[in-house]
Amino acid sequence: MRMTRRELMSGGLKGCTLLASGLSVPRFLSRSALALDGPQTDARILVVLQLTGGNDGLNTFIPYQDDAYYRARPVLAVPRGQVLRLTDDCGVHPQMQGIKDLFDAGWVSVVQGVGYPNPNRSHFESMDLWHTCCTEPKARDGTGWLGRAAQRLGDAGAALPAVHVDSAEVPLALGTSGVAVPSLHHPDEFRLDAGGEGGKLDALRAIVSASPSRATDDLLFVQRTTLTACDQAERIAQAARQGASGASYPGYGLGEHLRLIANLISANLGARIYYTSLSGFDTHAKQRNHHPQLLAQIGQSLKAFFDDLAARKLADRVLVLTFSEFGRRVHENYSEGTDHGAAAPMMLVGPGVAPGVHGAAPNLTDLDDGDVRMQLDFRAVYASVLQNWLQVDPSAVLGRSYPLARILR
Amino acid sequence: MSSLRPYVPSSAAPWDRRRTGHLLRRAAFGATEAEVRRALADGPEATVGRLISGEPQPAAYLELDALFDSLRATGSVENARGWWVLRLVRSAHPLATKMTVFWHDHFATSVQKVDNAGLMLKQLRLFESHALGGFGPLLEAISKDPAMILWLDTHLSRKGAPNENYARELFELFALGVGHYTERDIQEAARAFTGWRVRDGAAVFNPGIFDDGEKSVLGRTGRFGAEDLVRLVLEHEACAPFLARKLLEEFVHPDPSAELVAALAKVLREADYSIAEALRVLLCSEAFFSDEAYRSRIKSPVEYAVGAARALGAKLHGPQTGAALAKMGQKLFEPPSVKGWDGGRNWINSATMLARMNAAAVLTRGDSAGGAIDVAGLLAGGAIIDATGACDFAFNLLLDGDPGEALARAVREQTAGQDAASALRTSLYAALVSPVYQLA
Repeated sequence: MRMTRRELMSGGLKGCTLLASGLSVPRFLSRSALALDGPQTDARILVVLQLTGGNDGLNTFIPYQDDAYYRARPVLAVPRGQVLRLTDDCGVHPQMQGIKDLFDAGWVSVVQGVGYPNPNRSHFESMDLWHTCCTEPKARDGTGWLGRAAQRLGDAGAALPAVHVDSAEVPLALGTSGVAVPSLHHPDEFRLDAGGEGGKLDALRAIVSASPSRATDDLLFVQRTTLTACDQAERIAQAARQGASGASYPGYGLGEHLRLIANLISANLGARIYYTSLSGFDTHAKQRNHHPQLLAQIGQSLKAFFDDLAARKLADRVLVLTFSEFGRRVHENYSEGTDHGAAAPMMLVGPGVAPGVHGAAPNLTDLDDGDVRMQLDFRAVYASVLQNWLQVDPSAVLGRSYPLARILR
Repeated sequence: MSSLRPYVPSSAAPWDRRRTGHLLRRAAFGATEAEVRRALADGPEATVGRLISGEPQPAAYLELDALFDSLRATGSVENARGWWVLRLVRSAHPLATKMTVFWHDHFATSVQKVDNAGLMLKQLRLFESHALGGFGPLLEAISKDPAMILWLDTHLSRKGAPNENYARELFELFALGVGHYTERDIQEAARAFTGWRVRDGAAVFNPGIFDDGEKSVLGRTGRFGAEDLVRLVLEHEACAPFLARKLLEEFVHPDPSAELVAALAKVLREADYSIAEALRVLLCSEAFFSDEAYRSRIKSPVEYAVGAARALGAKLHGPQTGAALAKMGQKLFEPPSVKGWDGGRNWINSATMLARMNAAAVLTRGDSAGGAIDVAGLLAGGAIIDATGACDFAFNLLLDGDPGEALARAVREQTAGQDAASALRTSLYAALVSPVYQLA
């Protein structure tokens, strides 16, 4: 549904030039949206968890029967007896009991050997590829796969049903050709202190929406985003309050971000895509001091998230997808760490997954320049999620069609 | 986009508020009304000369120097952040302090891993001393900087067990850019950076763990060490264009033309990578004062907050401003990754825009502990006696005298009937939250 003039005017935008300059506020966040027609309350939701820095896939989903793994990692290998076994040849790190529990409930899908051809071992080049899905850097246009999906899921030119819940920068994956995706990490900080002696929100809107004398793309982008922020400040804080539950989460930043996402889902904010991240995975040195702790955060936070969702009867609507820009070198380095690698497992969590470990265990005796070879292009995973979960045409989002990976029910 | 030929004021391209505003914004964060008038009177060349060489530091800045040792002793990164913010606001050499932020973003090192505020301050001092100097000496110094050594694992690298982290980022992010080296170059270069440790806050070279064997890097072979690698990188044909592009993106336009990159690269090479020389040519050029360059960059949070404070002569609370900058997306000493901040449109989202608007409210309210303008002083200094005068002052100072018809009308409506002091707060706030002010 497009915004009508009446809705705009009733939103306190009298006398400004919004309509003339083609600006609009995302409907799902505008103050009147819920009253007029609330968002679909059974819509499926995708939560993306980015593991920044290159997660060591081999020490996350562990080939505990493979002697080559133990030979390559005399210091870092997880002893066979400590691995939490998922299948005959794949186990999960002992710090991820939460994932083991979710796996046993049939809510986890592990996809082995995900990567892309000609792996790039630069964090930034590789991450950009995972975000844009566009192999040729020159052909990238600032949009990401989720930004494009959000634009298809939302009303043309208006609603963008995606929210970034993180203190990190908004990822390129959420880049759109329109308004910026809202970003917040704590509702208390997402508030507006309208200044000036005018002091009122309407006065602020009139200032921000005034037509500039020279309208560049960047200027219009800033203008749209600022106007959106003015409206969201109220709406999101309200949703976060409405949706608050007494659920218990571990005290990590990731846990708090997932809690906020659960609250926003529960309050029917209307977003279909949420994005958060955890960083610190670039474990070149002393990996044992950091990596297990990160895995513990993932396991505990995701378990708490799904417990919370299940208690509110929302779990069926939610799918979590985790990814990292690359895995790590099979052989540990001399600094008790691992260097940049290539293919690695991806994990999907939620009642909607086809449970189990998909694909073959990594072949550690047939490596590509020291790294695990890819079995599956990550865009095939994205395509399945787009088609079978979000019900968006994957080829329109990814630029071409990919064979669907059978990872969802 | 036009060339690096010197800009000469003409009737088509006059030396006016728009161009002085542009120069003082890009090279000095922003300027007071008195500074704008001085630039208008002196002309572009003299103004650029003054920006490059700086002026004697005021007492308020020297006070910060005197505080350095006790600051470092606190070990607090919040204090360090606040100290840096105050230097940015108070310095009489704003171009040099702006370059410290540029180098921090370029050699992006995070206290999260270094875990030592004192070493971050030491690195900041290094950026201060090399701010406008030669890129070569800076590159060599940063390779042996204790915070950098800890940040990119050089301290864990030794003969027989090289760590690739620093070598990779030196090539990819600090000096050449992707596509100009191979994975093999990285592995070989890593050997040249062995031997370094951090002891008592200083970098120490230990020949016993240095790999002094022959290495083949970037097509050259020798028993290279860290200094040799820096030399090889500077001699590489990709280095000058790489640095030229970054300077152009920062000072001229987010997407500079290939011709402009090549022209500035030539200047850099001929001036032995002198940053001052490159900036002198750049800031005096037709390209710099072109229409394409004007308001073509989105301000970083530091440019936004420090620019506003400098223009308005506002007093800031250092650590609180440091925290406000973090909410705007730029937590100094904690860049998101070794690539630094992505900048551009990445600065702008609903949360960061709320933070900018909230900071503008704090600044113009006039009674906040976090920082405030001196309304009475501004009224007296600008001879402002009524609401019309207050609006004119805000538009001239913050919007180069060109607020646009619609914004001017809206602000005049809102200030109509207000006394001069209230109208000044309202119009300054309006200018600070206006979309055009978010652009540099």
